[in-house]
This record gives sequence, C-alpha cells and structure tokens, in this order.
Amino acid sequence: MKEIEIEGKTVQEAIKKGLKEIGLSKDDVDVKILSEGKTGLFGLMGASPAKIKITPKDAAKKTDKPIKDGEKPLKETLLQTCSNVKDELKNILKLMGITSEVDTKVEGEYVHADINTSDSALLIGKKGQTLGALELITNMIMNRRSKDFRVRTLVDTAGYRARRTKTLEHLAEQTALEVKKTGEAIQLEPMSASERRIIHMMLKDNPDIQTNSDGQGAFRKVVLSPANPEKPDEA
Amino acid sequence: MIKLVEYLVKQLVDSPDSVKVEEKEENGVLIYHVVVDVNDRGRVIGREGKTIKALRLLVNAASSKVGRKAVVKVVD
Repeated sequence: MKEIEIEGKTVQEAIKKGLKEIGLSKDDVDVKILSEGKTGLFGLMGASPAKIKITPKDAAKKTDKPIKDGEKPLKETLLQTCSNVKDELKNILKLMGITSEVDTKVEGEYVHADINTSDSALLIGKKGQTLGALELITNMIMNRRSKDFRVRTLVDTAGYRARRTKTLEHLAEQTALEVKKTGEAIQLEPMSASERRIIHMMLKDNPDIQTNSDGQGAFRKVVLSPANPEKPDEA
Repeated sequence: MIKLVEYLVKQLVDSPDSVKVEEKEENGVLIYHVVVDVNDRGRVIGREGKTIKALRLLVNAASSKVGRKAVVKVVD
C-alpha cells in the first residue's frame, strides 16, 4: 500500500475524503498535514485548500526499519544531518558566549536538538522567542546547505518545549470544553506554526470541535468552533 | 558579538564575500550596521522581517549575557 495526498476545504474534510478513497479507518493510517488551508475572506476570496498525506500504518512501520533497501541512505543522511545540526548549534552558541552541551537525535523526519546550559532561561527568552529564533536560524542555515531534502530541527532546552506542549494541550482541552458548552467559537492567542499544530493535532479526533487557523503571519491564531454550529450542546 | 552577527549573516546570504558588518556605539548601545549584496537584502530580512527579527533576538540574548544592549540594522 502506498501513501496518498488529498486536498479538501478543511483538514478534516481532506481526511474524510482520503480515508474513503483508501478504504481504511482513521486508526489504520498516519495523517500528515501538508498545508492547513485557508478559508479565505468569507470562504470566498484567497481560499487555499488544505492538503494532507495519508500513509497506511503498515507502510509507515516498514519505513522505520533501516535495513530495507533504498531507505538506508535516508537514515544515514538524517544521522549525518544530526551531527551537522549539532556542530552548527555549538558554533552559534559559542559565538553567543553561551557554554553548552548539545545532544541530537533523529525522531521521525525531525532532528531533535537538546541544549544543556546554565543559560537556558536566557536562551528561551520571552515566551520562548529566543529559542524559536535559534531554531529558525538553524533550520535556515541547514537548509541552505542541504539541497535534496528539507531539514527540520526542533531545538529545546531545559524541557521548555515539552512543558509548553503540555500547557498547549491542556489549553486545547479546556477551550474545547468551553466551545462545546457554549456553542460559540473561541479564538486563541497568536501562536507559531508549530504551536498551532499542537492544538490542531490535539483536537483532530474530537468530533465536537473544528479547528482552523485565521489571520496572517505573526498574528495567525487557532479558532476552535463547534463541528455542528446549528445544534449547540444544551448543557 | 560582531563575530556572531557576521557569521550568521554570512551563513544566510548568497554572496558572503559582500557582507560587511560595522560596530558602532551610541549612548552605551552597540549598533551593528550590516551591509549585504542588494540581492541578499531580502534573505537577511526575510518574509515579514522574520529572519532579521530572529537575528536580533539572538544578538540581544548574547549581548544581555554580557550586560549590553545591541541593535542590528541592515543598511545600504
């Protein structure tokens, strides 16, 4: 079985369409959101479709095995990338005057870099801004050098990202309950793409809630709305 | 600090040889004037200033470590 790419008005619609086409249930596949899509102004102007990739889980499992022919280079490339990311981060941090140890590992198609330093508070910055900046710059530098595939690095220090993820998941849950109760949409504060993704992923299986991103650039935020607005839960 | 600015900018542009960074000081604030090739201007600034913003955040973090304030400017 192979993976398929599907477009739809919303991510949810694309998933539904894709599952129908492939004839599998949601539990049997891995869904990757390629583009969250835009509803545009009143759903008319500037709308762009959501795009997702559906991979049947059997196939996905196989790709994890490094022994299989043809996939070995990728794994090796990723490991090479890992050590490149490590060197690059060490380099930048040294120039910043920050003493640190950097640990990197491959997770899926991401490189996770964990920075161990006594300056982690400084490195995280206000609302994780500085950490985000370091991540952006590192990714930009790495991708300038890598022509054939996109390097995606997640940079963390002192477990900040893990904590932030928990906070966001909690926020998603609480807001979802509120939306279900009132039947009214709630807009979250502006977040980065990766933070919005956490919210979307958290609520993608919630039948009562629909999540969309709205706004431009740094002001883009997630909107949680009831999946069927006509019938709000009378609780 | 000037090395940090210079290094980061050089990594991001197409013509690293045209990169020039000058350090000035005004009222105790360090000011970095970054000159790049015209075609690289957009690269350093980024969409909606994303890249230059990230660059400034890193330089700010580094300078506050040594108790200084720093400003990065892309100039003609």
